[in-house]
Order: sequence, then C-alpha cells, then structure tokens
Amino acid sequence: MIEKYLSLVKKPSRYINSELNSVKKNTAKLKFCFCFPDLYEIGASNLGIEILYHIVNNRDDSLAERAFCPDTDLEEIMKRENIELFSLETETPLRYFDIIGFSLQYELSFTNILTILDLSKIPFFAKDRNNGNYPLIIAGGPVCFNPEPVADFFDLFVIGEAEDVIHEIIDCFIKNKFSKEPKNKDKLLYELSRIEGVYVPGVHKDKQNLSIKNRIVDLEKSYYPTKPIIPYVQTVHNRLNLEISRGCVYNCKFCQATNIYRPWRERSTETILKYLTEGIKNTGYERVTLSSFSVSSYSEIENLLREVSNCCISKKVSLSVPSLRCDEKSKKILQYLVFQKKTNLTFAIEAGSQRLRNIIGKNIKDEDIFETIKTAYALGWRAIKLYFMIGLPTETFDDIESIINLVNKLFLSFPKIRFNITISPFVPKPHTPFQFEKMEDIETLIQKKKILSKKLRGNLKFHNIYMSKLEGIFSRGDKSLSKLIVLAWQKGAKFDHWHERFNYEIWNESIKELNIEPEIFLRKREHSETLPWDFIKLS
Amino acid sequence: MLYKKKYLYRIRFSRTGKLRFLSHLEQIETIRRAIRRAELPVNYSSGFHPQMKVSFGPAISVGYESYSEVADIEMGKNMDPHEIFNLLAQHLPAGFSILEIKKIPSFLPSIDSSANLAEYTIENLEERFSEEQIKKTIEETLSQKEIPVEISKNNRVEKIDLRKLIYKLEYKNKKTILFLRFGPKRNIKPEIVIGYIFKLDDISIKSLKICRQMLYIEKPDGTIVKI
Repeated sequence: MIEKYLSLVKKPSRYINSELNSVKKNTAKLKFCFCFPDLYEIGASNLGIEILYHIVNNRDDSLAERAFCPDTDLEEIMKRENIELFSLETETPLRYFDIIGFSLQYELSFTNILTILDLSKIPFFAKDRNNGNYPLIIAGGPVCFNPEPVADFFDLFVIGEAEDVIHEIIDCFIKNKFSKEPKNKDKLLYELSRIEGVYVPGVHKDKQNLSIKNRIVDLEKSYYPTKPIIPYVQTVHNRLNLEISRGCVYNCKFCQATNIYRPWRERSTETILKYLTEGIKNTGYERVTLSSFSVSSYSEIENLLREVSNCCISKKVSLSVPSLRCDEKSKKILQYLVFQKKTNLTFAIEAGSQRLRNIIGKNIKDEDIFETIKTAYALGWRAIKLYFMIGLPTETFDDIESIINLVNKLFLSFPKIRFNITISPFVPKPHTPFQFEKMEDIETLIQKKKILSKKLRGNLKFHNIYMSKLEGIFSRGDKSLSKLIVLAWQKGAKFDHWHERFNYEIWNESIKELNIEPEIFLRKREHSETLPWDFIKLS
Repeated sequence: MLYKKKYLYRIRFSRTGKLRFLSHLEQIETIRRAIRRAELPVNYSSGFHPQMKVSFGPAISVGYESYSEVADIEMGKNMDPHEIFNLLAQHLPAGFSILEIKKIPSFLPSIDSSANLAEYTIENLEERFSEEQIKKTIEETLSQKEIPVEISKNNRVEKIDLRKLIYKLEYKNKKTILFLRFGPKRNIKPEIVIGYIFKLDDISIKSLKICRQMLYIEKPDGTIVKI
C-alpha cells in the first residue's frame, strides 16, 4: 500500500518492515502496538520498547508490532492519499490494535503523539473514545512521573518499570475482552486501575486520597532481549546495548533518573557475559555499549570489564561506555576501552564551581577532573566531551566564570585534546529535591549564554533556551496544558525536540491565545503546596 | 607480524522488493553484519580499529532493485564456495539472495575500480508513452552525435555529454534497457539520463522502476565482460 510512495520520501528504509529479528505473527488474542512519538531513528534505539516488544511477543496469546511518527514528507502524502498510519510489521492501521502503548521519554515529543493519533483517525481526548471500537491508548516512560499535561489524551499510564506490569495489563485486558458479559470500557478501566503502578485518569479522579506507587523489577530475573531488532537505518544508537545496572548510587539533586529508578540494581557478571555472547551472535553488531547511569559504580567493574573486553577483542567488537564520572574508578575503566580511543569520552561536570557542585550533590573536585582527563590523555584519548548546566539553583555570575576558568585551565593543561562542550539550561524536574526551585528566567539564561559564548574556548554547543523553557513548563505542568498541546499542534508544531524544526513562535502564540501564564509552572513552589504529581509516590 | 593467508571470494547478490529502499551505506552495514553472524573466517585489518576486509561494488541508488550487488571478501581460510553459500545465505535478510560465489585471484583490482559499465532495465515508461513513442525517442537519441547537458551536482554545474555515456539503449520485451558507462567524474544516475531523454518531471522520474541487472568491464577495444 505505502510502497509505491516510498520512492518519494527521504530515508524510505525507515518505513520498510523486514528488519532482522522483528517478529511477525498473524493473529493473537491481544494485539499490541508500541509507538514512539518521534522519527524511526530515535525510537528504534529505545531500549524500553525493545524489551517490552519481545516480552509481549513471547506470550502465546499476544502479538506486538511497532509504529513511529512518519516524517513530514510521508505525513503529507498519507493525508493527501488518505492512508492511515500503519504498524511496521504487518502494515495494519493502528485503529485495529487492542492497545497502543506510547513511550514518553521527553516532553517535546507531545505534539507527535497527536500526529500519530490524527493519522490513525483516533480522537485525541480519552473522553471522546468511549463510544466506538477504539484501542486503549496507554503510555509509559519517565515523563509519566508527571502525567498531568497529557493525562486527558491517555486511558492509562504505567508508572515505573513496565516489565512485570505489562503482563498484568494484558491478562486483565484479555479476561475482559473474552468474557461473556457485554463490553464496557468503564468496567475495563476500573479493573485496570486496580493494578499496582497503574494510573487511570478517568477512574483516579480524587487526587487528594490517591497514592500510586511506581513499579520496580528484579533486574537479574527480568527479561532482556538478546535478539534485538537490527534497524537498516542508522539509528542514534546503532550498536548492541547491554544494560548492566539500573538506578544510580549517587544523589544528584537535579537528576530525575536517580530518583525514579531507585534502587541501584546490578545484573550479575555471569548474566551480562551470557547476554553479550548471545547478542553478538544474533546481531553481528560491531560495537557494544555497557549501559548504566554510573558504570564505575558496578561493584565488580574491573572484573566485568576484563571479561567483557576479552570477549570483545576475540570477536573484533569495539566496546564503549556512556558518560563517566570523574573519579578513581573511572580511571581504572579507561584501560579497557582501547577500541574507543578515537571516539569521544564524555564527562558530566554539571557546574563550574566547587560550591555549586556541592549544592547540587555532584561532589567531584577539580583535582578529580584533572586526574581523570590526565589518565585518559595518557591512554590516548584526544577528544573529550564535557557537559555543564546553567541556571542551577543559587547560581551566580561567579559560577559562570568558574566554568570558563575550569575549561580554560583544561585547555592549557591538555593542549592536544579537542574539547567539545555542551551546555544546557537546568530544568527543575518532578520527584527531585529541586522540584520546588524556580526555573531561571529566560533573560538571565540568555545573558549567561552570551558570556559563555564569548569567553569559552572549544567547540561549544548550546541547548536551545526556548526549548528548555517549554520543557520547564511541561515537566511541572498540570492538566490545563493539554489544550495548549492541541492548539500548538493545530498551528503546525511538530518534532519540537529537533533544533531545526522547533518553532517557539507557534508555542508563544498559542500560550498567549489561551491566556496561559508560563510563570505558574516555572515559579518557585512552596513545600506546603500540593504539586500535580504528588499522588505518585516513589517506592 | 605473522603472514596472513589471503583467499578472495566474489559474491554477487540481488536486492529486490522493499530492500531496494536501502541506501548503499545501509546495505553495506547489513551485509557486514550478516557476514559476522555467519562467522565466516574473514580477515581483519590490524590496529586499534580492526576493519573487516570486505570491499563492495559501485553504489546503488535508493529505490533501485539490483541483480548485480557485489562484495569481495578476503578470508583467511580456503573454502569451497558452496560452503560459504551455506553459511551466509541463512543469515541474509529476506530480500537479499546470493546469485554467485566465485574464488578470484587475490591480485585482482577492486570491483569498484574496475567495473565501468552497468546494465539497467527501466519499467513504467509505458504509463506515459506508447511503445512506438519509446522506440522513436530511443532511435532519435542514438542518432545524435552528442547530447550536451548541464547537470547540477553538489551545488556545482557540470557539463557532460550524455551520448558518450550511453553504450547501448534499446526497447525489448516491454522494457527499456540502458547500458550506462560510469567512472570517476562521470557518475550519472540512469534516472537522470532517462528523465532527460524522455523529458520527465521529478515525480515521473521517481516513479520509474529501475533495476541494475549486471555490471561489466568495458575494455579499451570496446568489448565487454561481466564482472
């Protein structure tokens, strides 16, 4: 159906459905479609969807397929030719699935949810889907820890890790679908709302007495895909991803992931090695990455790396790790990453001054930074990426100067290293100690950016400040924002996560038209205040 | 340094159906991964970034089917081509088929630098022209001594004589067959040639069904041999 149009669009291999290790089942009692509200190359790298996709397909009674947001060129053709959005595996229109599960990883993907529903001829608001045989529209992922801005669009949210709860949802759905009693969406939603870690906006209306606990899984026992789908398109990840741990041992006060993925859990070295061998065999990937919020915190990291590294060398696979903490343990890790030398090594410094680093809970010292980079340099690295944030609570212009001083000192000490510096505005996130803090106003952020752009050496990359502002509005937003998302979408907002596509004018116009006061969401909160996400209790 | 044994094999394969939408780079990655999964005893370069010693044929355009995709694989073990076929075939995604595996001398120049002529079939012209019109246009084209055109490539306009690139052009069994020369500084897509000759707009060009049937080496004396 779609094939004859694929010659007309960019990167058509996003839309072909024969990726290796994808699963095609013809029929099942329950049909699940996983959606990632962004382009294929972003969504296909998402580990959460990958895990859940295989969990559902491993059930005899269920099947899972995938859909992504088509790029604007294909969207235009689909609208003109009246083609509905289809799943990749069997090209089934999304409307014919029982459940559509969205992965919400960042706020700026909200408009793409609407594009997907629009192309599927599914009403945006859950209240408009009571009559008619629409699929259940559900969501999971970190953004759901404050689901309110999009709560009106969804029938159900999974709060926390979904590996176990997805079985409970499917069991409940199948029981309901095949019961002899007349079909009733209210009854189904009520039954689903009784599952732990599930938030059903249509049922859970009394927020005062509501307490929803996030789900946590036993990592070692939990399913991990060793036969992941291999995309044809160059995705953002494009390598074998081995999750060695979940959670974080540190308590950085700005970090949402630290708080919502508690506690720190490790997979055993034995299990990781098993997944590694199987994964390489099943994919043929030439690169492996050990995924963890803090690789160096893994209790037997040296032993693990020795084993993993030996396996990688014998299979001619290169090994990499995500961003490292500047500390003693990381220095030991570096020697095992010989294949990665030509690529970037990433360190998240976050703040320039010791004072501010102590306040935000990132207690690394300047000496640690210098020592770690010295080790990396000695081992052969010549490209290093540093992350900083601006607009952190209590930050003054002295702290901005500290970033400049630190980076300049690094430049002088390591003239042969190419430093790439990424700077992002701090966005206060729900469920963090900084959830009460005011988000820095846009004028000050711009001023700080100006100073840094002028004085900072190296290859500088700035996160778009207006994108951060919008992120700030949504991350601590409430139900009143769903109409803003709809209006901005109607005015043409889409792919807001993409710098070159983001159009703040549209959002600004929509905010004004709806008389929304952004300050309500960006301001400092009192500890006595009820926050929109208070009903979600961290386990 | 140990002396590495070298055995060179040329694999010709097809890509059909939806896999025609892969880019050349995506296809290379896909084939490399299939070779790794098949655990063929391929040689690797030495150094920090060991690279698999496999070289690929001339790039294929997104949307084109092909029966002339080529990978030259250097292996450290002498193997029977049938054995290679058995190992590799089961690891190729559906849409790729191995057509031929032959052992080639290890001193042979790379396929990319030796092939200089490609045979294409073009379908769908019949949607706009009668068979008579197609045949007449072909005849007119071939009767011309030169066809100077200006082609913009990477924001640069290049002057090129299309006629010189056409080795053969004919209409047979409801298919237009084009033998197109290519090489450094004269890489023109067949859709551009057909589009120019038949005066097609962009949308019609994109709806042509094009297949690269075979690659040849045209020798200085004008004779051609299959790769």
